[in-house]
Amino acid sequence: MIKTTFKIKIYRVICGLLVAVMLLIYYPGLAFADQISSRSVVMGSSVASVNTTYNFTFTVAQTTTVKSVKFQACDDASGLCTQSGVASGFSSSTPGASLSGQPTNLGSGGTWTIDNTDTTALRIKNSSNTGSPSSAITVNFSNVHNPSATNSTFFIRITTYSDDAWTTEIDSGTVATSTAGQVTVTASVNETLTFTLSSSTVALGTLSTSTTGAGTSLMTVATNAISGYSLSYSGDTLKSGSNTISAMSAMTTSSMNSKQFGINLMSNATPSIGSDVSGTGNGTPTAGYDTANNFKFNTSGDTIASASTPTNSNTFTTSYIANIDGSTAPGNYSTTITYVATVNF
Amino acid sequence: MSSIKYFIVVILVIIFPIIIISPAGAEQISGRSITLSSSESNASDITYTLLTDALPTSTTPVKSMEIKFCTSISESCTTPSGFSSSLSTLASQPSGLGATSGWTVNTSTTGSLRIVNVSNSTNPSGPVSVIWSGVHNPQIANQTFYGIVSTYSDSAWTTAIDTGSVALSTSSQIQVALSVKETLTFCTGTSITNQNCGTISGDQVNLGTGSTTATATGTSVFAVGTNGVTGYSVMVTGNTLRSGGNSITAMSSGGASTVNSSQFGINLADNNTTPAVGATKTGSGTGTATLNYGTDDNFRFVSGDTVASASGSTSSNTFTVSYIANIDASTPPGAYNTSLKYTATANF
Repeated sequence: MIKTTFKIKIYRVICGLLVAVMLLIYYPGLAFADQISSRSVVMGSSVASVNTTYNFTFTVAQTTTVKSVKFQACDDASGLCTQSGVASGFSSSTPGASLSGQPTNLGSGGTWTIDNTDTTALRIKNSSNTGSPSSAITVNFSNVHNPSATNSTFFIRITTYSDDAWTTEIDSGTVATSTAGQVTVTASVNETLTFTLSSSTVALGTLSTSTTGAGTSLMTVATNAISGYSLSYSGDTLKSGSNTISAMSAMTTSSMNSKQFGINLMSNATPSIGSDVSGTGNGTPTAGYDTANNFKFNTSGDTIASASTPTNSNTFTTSYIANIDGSTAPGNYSTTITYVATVNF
Repeated sequence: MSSIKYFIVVILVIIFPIIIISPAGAEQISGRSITLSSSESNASDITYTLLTDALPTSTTPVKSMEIKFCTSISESCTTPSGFSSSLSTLASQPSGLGATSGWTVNTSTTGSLRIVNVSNSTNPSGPVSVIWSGVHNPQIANQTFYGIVSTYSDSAWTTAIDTGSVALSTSSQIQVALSVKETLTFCTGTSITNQNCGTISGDQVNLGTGSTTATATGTSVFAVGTNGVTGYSVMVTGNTLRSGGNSITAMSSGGASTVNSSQFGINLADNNTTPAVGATKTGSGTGTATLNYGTDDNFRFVSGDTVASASGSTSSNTFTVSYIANIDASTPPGAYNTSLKYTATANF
């Protein structure tokens, strides 16, 4: 009877030991470790399978000097740590994680170094560390390889140790983090050219030797062409049958009592006609048509304005002037001028 | 005959304890109960409430009263181990015992709850209520013990008037344990059912063809929730829309969508009307879009900005991200794109 009782006691002791051992295996943080608080990890990128930064912030519970710290990526928050599920693909060794700088508030003395022997964990140690850790410890890593599953929560268990071999636990805590998909945003922009003329007729009135006939038309032009645009005109000078008013082949000022027909794109005082270019674009009048009170008209055609890059809209005011001298034959003078905008994509 | 003698002996043995615990001449108190504020074993500062019907002897003033606690109802009372009245007090003056004041606790006998009022000359009437506080429960869990209630005509708990016993018991406390792990639910895509990350799909947002007269729009979604004690933040990183060396200007200062200007921006607002894009946040969580990204018709894009957050643990919310792009006439043609990354950080 005594022998049987003794056997039962031995059996109970063995069972108790087995339970304790299993608890230590499955709940490694159960034994003696206090909870790490205010813990978080900021991932530089949550995209699966990329190399990125992991920046940890946490506060330990105990003041024991820390000589090593482990950040282990696991499929689950507790129990035996595995990397066969959501944490699969995490790696500290490929391509090779490194400390972005020395940790802060982990103590003083010595230098913290990383040890990537255990690819499932980011591990640092400092055998010369002294002093107590303070709050808001930061440990920043770069080149950490994210798990391969997208949109998956995985867990990083943070554990501090009093030795430099990640053996004797002090405190521990778990953070949940997640990979995520990457959203690609696309848009297409087609080639564009905006070109409008405001009117189809310009009346210069009845000319005399003592007044200058004047009138305006408006053009708006814009393009997203890489080399911008050039705006040219073509046409004849003012004619009435075989009679003509001389085109101002070279840029010059308006002079009454002389035969002149010319244009420019400026705000003029003599005569008072026209406006400078307006709008947010970067188009400009070209030489010959860019000087106030100076006019020109090339019957062979000419470039009157241009932009060398993509440009928003500009509105150009074309000023037309005509002068006659005493010999100018009477008649109805007219001409048709064609404007062409050419873009270079 | 011997059988009859044997029967009589057996009967006497059975009723003997009852005979000896009922003091001579004492009447039985009826309707009696003792209620413990907690039956937890070995617990301190427990309240014991005695309630009875009106005492059967209503013509004799009660000057003292006690509840003696015993492990069994027998002649020799053994106090349950750990029980103590040494710190007991009267929570209030008793009722039904005659005088309505002048009752005090006597703790000289730690195995009994006692009160005394030497001046009481009023006959008892009505239901009795006596409440003691500061009692220490027996230390053994799930143990039945007994309280023997007695009233006395003297102030020394000697001359019993009425009596009655009550059975009580300590009990084990049931420890209910639940382990809650740290959680962070987070997923991104272009389509999701409610807040179920298992249903999320898509990763392309096509804004179409840009125009100087209309705003190009599109949406994506993300779901997020955590039990982190200080909640979460969701950050967006990436470039503005680019096509080779050309780009559409990011709305770094935020603002309204304006056609015929170069703009790329996002928001998480519920009711954009200019342009009409986006959707109301769903889910019972407490997450919200941040100020710069939560205003209707106001768009912004700065890489590294926090676009949504929660300040405490929260159920999941699904946010709809609205993207807008405008171009001006000078925006070079091309296929523009960018890859935006959303990162959730939980704080435990």
